[in-house]
Amino acid sequence: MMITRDNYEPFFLDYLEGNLDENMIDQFLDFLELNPDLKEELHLFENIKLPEEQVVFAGKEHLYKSANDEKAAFERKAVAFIEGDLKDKERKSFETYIAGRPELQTEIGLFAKTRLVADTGIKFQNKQSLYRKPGTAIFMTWAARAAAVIVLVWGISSLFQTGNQQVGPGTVREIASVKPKTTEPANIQIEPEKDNLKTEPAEKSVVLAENKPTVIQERGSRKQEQIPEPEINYQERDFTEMNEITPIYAMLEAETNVNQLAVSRSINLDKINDPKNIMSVEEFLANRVKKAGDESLLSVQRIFRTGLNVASEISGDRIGYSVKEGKVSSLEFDSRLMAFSIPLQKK
Amino acid sequence: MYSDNVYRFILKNIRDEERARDIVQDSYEKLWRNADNVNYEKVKSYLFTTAYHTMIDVIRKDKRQTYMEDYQVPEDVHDEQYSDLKEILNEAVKRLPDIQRTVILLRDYEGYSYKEIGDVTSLSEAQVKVYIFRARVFLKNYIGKMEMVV
Repeated sequence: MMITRDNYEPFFLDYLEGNLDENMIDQFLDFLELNPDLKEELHLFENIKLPEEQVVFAGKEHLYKSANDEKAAFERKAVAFIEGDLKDKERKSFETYIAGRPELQTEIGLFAKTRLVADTGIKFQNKQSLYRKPGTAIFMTWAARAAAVIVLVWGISSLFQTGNQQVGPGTVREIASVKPKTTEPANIQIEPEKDNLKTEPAEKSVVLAENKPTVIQERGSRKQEQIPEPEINYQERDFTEMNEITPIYAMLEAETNVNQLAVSRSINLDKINDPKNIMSVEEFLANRVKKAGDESLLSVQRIFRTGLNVASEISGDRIGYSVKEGKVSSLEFDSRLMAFSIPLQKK
Repeated sequence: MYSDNVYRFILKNIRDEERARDIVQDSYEKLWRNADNVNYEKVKSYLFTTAYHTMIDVIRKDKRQTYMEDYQVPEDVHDEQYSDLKEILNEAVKRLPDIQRTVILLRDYEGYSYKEIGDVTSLSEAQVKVYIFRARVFLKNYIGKMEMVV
């Protein structure tokens, strides 16, 4: 091959590294003589030589096959063996491998023991609850839950309401302050009534009916403002309230309750004992007959009043009503925050 | 049909009977809601998957999840007395990291394949294999230490 200016570089490299064919050396030297510029370039190549660096790889011991690697490899094989992941050929090879090594067989035995067995004694008890329920059943379940929550909330709220009323400001203090003053005159005033209780039921009813505003008066001054001074009017009296009054009467009869006497003192006893305001037995019965004649057992007014009584009881006396001429004349609502009355009849 | 299996699986994981019952019930409710979309053959898998994810939610809410990836067998385990291998194994399972316990329970209790376990737990087959391997090694070491003590 002829050396030319186009292909001289490989020959340069072979010459410098001593790999140039002996037959080509003469031709190569002649070429350099004919091309002095390239001869000078060759001499520049001779000066280029990279120094040898002493760089060594540290931690060659990590490159050796370690016992840990063998152990990990064995564990991988062992787990695959007990999991059944090894193919036939691999499995047989592994069995052969461990056959002559008792320590490995022990390890395999331990791995085999790690297989968990389900405890069939653990059972889900209430399987009936897992069956599919129809839509109505689901609705009823949720409705029952909602009802239970409402009842619970109402129960708790009424509990708190009752507690507040009992310890309300003025209630206890008022009675306590009145007690020493009332003992004597109250006894004097009440005594004849107690004596007459058995013979004059109508009179009792009047006295007891008059007790009711007094009790309301104790609960709070605001309520007192709303309730006008009681005027005894037989026609307007609502005898459906007899049931509420009866327990107080029983208390009066049972003992000389100091509190009762104290309360009684605040009643205008003169007005109560006024013969004009006392209803006789005949008058009372006549009134009842008149009322019964006016209203049938299932009259709208009676049902309305019964419903209002129930609402009043449920709301803790927050809902009330006034009766005029046997008809409900207005509805009243009294909460801690607000109180109002809705008239139902035109004046 | 599978309520005992699901209940057992959840109970072994969270060790709270009441919550386990709730989770089973919740899973069945979801099953009935989606009954039209679940094949009969997939019912068991659906129940396990739903129960597993509900359990994870419960654990997260309770912040009771313990990360025990690097858990080592304590040196004082020999203080506890065990009568047989089953008790030792139960104790060891309790000490497993949650995910390892889950996959090995599904594997041994239900005989699920790696793929099925992956479907239930949203893991790849390779991850399932790794977790099962780690669980087996942990259990083996635990049993080995206990047997040495005994």
